[in-house]
Amino acid sequence: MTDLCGLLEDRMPDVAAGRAAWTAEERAHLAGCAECGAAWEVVRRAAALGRGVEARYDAGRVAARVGAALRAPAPTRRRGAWIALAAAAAVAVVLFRGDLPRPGAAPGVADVRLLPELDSLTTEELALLSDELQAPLGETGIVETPGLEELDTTQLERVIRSLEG
Amino acid sequence: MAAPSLPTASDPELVAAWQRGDERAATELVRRHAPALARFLYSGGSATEDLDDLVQETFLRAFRRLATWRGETAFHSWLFAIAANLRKDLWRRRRGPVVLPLEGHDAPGLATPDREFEADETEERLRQALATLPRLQREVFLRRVQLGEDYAAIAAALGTTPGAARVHYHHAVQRLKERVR
Repeated sequence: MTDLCGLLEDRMPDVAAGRAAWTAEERAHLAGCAECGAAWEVVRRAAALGRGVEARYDAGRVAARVGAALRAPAPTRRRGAWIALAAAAAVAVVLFRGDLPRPGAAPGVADVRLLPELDSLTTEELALLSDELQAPLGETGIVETPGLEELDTTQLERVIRSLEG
Repeated sequence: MAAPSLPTASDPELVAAWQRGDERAATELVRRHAPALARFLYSGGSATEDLDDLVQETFLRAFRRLATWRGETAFHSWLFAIAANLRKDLWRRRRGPVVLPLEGHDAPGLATPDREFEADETEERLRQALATLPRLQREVFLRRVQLGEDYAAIAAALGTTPGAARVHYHHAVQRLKERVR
């Protein structure tokens, strides 16, 4: 690959879009360099890819759907759902940590376990989770919370991930 | 000074209007950018069946998080980044890209049956090849080739450096050459 090959490759999108044109020297190189010719073919085709989709896309219909969704009340994150998530996280901690001493662990050394699924929670959600975990499980009302069938897909996936570790 | 009419207003003006409560501004932003967004998703290998949902979810997410758009990148560029993230999540849930052949499928959001824009075999091979590129290579390549963004703009949108964006573009071209031949 020569310097000219690299230069041409960089310029291909602009030429394909009509924002630039090949010089005579570049055109001659393209005609004689198989690699550049193949690259130009890929870029030229990619530049035209999906134009029919764009031209025929019914933006008005999607705009109506977006408008309706925006006017609908924003979904509120129910406290019960997060309590259920807290319960799942607590179960995961208990399941994977156990209370057995770890071989080689010095007595009194804290056994810190990080749950990657908590990374996706907001500060507010983490605070709620923390509050619930600090209370004795019997006082959190977990048993009275709505069932898992009331969680949305994202929340259910988080619960599943927490149980899978 | 009178506010510009919606069709001639700039994206930042429409965003500001939406934040003041003008629903028509949101509609105008969708009308303005949804077709290109659908093309970007389609070109990158999204199934036609998924286009409507991905486009809609992109705008919903954008409107709900407008406060996080600081204007360092163009509004449409920010939208494309959101769309790419949503597609990444969708493919992760499905354990990979699903590029369906066009024949026999209606394309939601398209005003005419997909038979009228049926792609030739090369176009399908190119879509398949793009779908299987590493994510950054695909996003950089499509932004460079279809949106005409320069490496600095691409780097700003994708959180990388212009030099790295150029390398991603080069690798994408090399891989596509091999897979489309």
